[in-house]
Amino acid sequence: MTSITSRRSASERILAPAIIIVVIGFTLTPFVSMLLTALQPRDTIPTGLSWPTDPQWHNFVDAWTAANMTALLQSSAIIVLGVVPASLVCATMAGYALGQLRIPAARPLFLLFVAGLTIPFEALVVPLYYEMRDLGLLNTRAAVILALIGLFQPFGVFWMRAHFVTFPPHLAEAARVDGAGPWASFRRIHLPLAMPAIAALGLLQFLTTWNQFILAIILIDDPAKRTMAGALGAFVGEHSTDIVLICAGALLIMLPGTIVFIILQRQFVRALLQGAVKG
Amino acid sequence: MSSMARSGRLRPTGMVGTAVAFLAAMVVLQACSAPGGGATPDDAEPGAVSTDLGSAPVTLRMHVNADQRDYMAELAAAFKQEHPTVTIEITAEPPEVLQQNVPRILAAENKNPPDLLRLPTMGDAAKNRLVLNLDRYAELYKWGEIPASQFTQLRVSSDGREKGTGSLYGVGLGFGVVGLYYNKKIAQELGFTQPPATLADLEAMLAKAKSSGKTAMIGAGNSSFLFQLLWLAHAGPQPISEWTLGAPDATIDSPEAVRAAETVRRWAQKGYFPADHLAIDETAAVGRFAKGEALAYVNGNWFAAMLDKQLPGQVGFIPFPLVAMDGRRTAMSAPLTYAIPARSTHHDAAAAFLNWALTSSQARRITIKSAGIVPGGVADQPAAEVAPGTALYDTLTAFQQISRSDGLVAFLGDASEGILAGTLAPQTQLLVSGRVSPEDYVRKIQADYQRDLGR
Amino acid sequence: MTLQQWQGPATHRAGRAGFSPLNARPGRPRRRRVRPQLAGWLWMAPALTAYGLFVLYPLSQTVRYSLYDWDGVGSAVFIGLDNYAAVFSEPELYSAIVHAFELIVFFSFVPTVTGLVLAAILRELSTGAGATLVRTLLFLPQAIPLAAAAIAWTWLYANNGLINQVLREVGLGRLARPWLAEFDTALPAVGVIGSWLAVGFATVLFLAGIGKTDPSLYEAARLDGAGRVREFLAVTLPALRQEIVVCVTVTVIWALASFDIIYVSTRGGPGYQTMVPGVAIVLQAFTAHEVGLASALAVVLLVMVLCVALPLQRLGRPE
Repeated sequence: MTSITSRRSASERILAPAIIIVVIGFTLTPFVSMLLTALQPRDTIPTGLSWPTDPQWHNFVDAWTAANMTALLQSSAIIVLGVVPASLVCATMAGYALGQLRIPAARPLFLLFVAGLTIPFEALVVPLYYEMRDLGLLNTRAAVILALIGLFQPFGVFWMRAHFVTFPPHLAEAARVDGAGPWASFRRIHLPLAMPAIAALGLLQFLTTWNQFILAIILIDDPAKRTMAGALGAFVGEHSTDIVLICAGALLIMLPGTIVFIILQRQFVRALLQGAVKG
Repeated sequence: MSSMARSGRLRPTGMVGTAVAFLAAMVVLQACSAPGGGATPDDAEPGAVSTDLGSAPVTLRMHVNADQRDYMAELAAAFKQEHPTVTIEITAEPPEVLQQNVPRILAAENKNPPDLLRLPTMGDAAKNRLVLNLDRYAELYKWGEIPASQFTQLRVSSDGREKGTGSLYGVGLGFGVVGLYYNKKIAQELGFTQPPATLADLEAMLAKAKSSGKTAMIGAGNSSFLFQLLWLAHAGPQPISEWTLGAPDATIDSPEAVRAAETVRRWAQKGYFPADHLAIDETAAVGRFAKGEALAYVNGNWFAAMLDKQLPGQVGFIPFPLVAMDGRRTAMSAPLTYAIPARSTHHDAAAAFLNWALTSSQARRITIKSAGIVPGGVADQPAAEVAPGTALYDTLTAFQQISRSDGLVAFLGDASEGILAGTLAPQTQLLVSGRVSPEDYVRKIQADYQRDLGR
Repeated sequence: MTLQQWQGPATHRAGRAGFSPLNARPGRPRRRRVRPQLAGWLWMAPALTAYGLFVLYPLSQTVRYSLYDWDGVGSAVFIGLDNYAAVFSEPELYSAIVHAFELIVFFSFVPTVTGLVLAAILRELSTGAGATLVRTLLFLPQAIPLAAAAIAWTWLYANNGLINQVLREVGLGRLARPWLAEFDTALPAVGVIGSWLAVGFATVLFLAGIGKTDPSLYEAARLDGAGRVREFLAVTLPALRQEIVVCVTVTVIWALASFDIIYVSTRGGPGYQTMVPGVAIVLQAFTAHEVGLASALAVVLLVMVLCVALPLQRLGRPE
């Protein structure tokens, strides 16, 4: 690309980084504002951006206790552990069936799942509430776990099928020649090779589950049993005038997801973009 | 963010066809039966009633609002001293969560409802026969000696359409009453030595505050309390009580209500409210008043204890002034309703607790001290431990005045399930900012009221 | 199910026909050929069960509830399409639909255009060490809960928040106001939150798309003497066609189905200014106890999303 960059004028070479800085500034401003506010002394009403002369780091400790973060972390972890593995198993098996096994009615079945891609959670939350009520699962994590497993199938099956469909068939052919049935073939050949796709899907589902809000607040009343994101609603309601505490608490709630994201950001971004463009 | 990755090569026609076919099949299969279940009128009668609780230990489960957990815990402990066999376990939830959960807690599918439940509003619970009919306990415990107006809002007619008449379905342990808080310090600075006696007096005080550069009145931007108090001031309690209780032919579309709405609008135009009035919610309003920001504040007695602590000796409370100066007093007042779910298995014990909380002097003392609200029941004297000159003392006096004049009315927001959040809150914001005329404001509330009540 | 189908794509059958034990006696039905059929469906079973129970069944229930007047507890009354009539005749309900479409401008149009421009300008940075940092930071809004984003922006918009503070500092104090509480500014303010969330996503998406573009196309443009703008129109835009469709589809669905942001920041107020279908559904069902009406809104929301997503997909298919 050097031939192209070298012909850019000096002003254009300054323009790009300047724009980057502006855009990144715009992106980070809300976080910075919250951080500076979270460090102010409690019970004050700080104005916008004011550098804390006496940073009150213990506000984060206060927020941790006030929002019952330990329980929230555990709760979110339980929900994620309940949702992601099960959902991955279901989607991978179905994706394999649709992508590799020649089953009858594969096309209509696939379309059935694809139809679910455009269904927003908001449209289903009311009947899900009554269904969970009838199952006696309201106010339990199982309600959110089961609902999310189901809601993740359209995208998950679509994603895994897309992977299996593009899978070169000759490796599987060799297995079949040796008399391997679909299960053995899956276990020894397809599954190991599908791991990157499964991992990417798992990351996406982890993020969506961890940040789940609407299902958590509708299906679970006890804030301590929700996801971290779901508990934000109750936390804000309880301390609505204490902006310092709210900022500290919100930052803490954002932290786990952000840390995971930063560590795995390459995989995340690749997964998110692939998910968008897949097909 | 799974929604974000839902594109990809979709085949529109095949997909839609499959989806529609499947959906149609499911709908047809279910179209025959209506959702929900009905309950027969008998479900809500207790079996045998008795004041004898027996000697076997009983555990009652009680669901309360989170902000009343400590108060109820004190009552439960004191009750256990009188009836050692009865233990009360308390579960607390935030008020909005409780309101959302009440239908689920009372529903027929819930095999294990609590024995005592705080009902934010009587709502449809009585109509659906989900809470116990307390008439026979009322007879047994002689609640007829208590002023009848304290039970009005807890009665529901047998067809469930009207409140205020019919059988008793709940008990009010303590009453909230809404009036006018005023900051005595600011009032004196402005040259006023007496609280306002009439509406005109109040308006003059607000004008003086405004011209002296002070915030005249503070409140939540979407609160309809001020409107209702003004309507009471112009029309008296009768029409409002009928409207909130769902009497047939009740209407809010009247000249007095329009005048009340005009007053709200006029005060907003004259700048009696803070500049960011619409952005203020209940917590912000009381927080700012407690920091001494405004002269006047319309809200309920439940804040009195907190205000006394923050502004000792500076806060007074009076029933909202009427148009003319006479002995009557009116105010919105709501009982803190507690009901017994029909499917509870400990009717007698639960009813005994309710009776004790309503009538025993110890319970009344706890109600005043721990909850800072006015207790119901017969007695006339405020508890001796409350000092005159405090807002809390004022609220007790005010409640008695109002009770004696039969001036207790329910809140507008209790008229139907959705009217508070769905109509009153947004419409009041529109009124205050001048986007809806007083006439249209009142007409819209009436239209939604009629739609909610199925008229 | 024929033997050929079981063995896989036709192209690879040719060299194998004689060697597989399965092929020993072609034409004679074997148990092996029947089992794969059922086995295949067994593989589908878990996903189908979860999907059926927790997506398709509730979906059918939504349609069913929408035909009744039900408070969620007592018995329901069949009222046919009355709920739908209410949705389209009562201002506070159809305004939710109108607002959802208005939010498309902020959630979708602005970020897509901005993302395209930014990606074009930053084209040279689609690889490199700094690129990773830039990409991570731009994508950060996607990693946090939407509710947290709403809280952050609510504080920015507050009367004494950063935005008003800056306005006052530069002498534009009379523009300062509680942005989320004023009738005229509430919906655009909420929209800006959406733009913030989406612009990083769009930029990174388009950068990746540009990264996959054949550089010789740009070479050719340069040789033709094309300036930046012409290069953008002639090379970048067509190359990013698939990505643009994806970006628009995804962000439009975000706009129509938004819930978290509005629920946490304004809950539909002031008045009904920021009411959107998602929030209206929840408030109608669980606060006003109007389950039938909420379900009708949900069905309308579904149809809205379909009506927008499907045509967009048609646009994206390479002709």
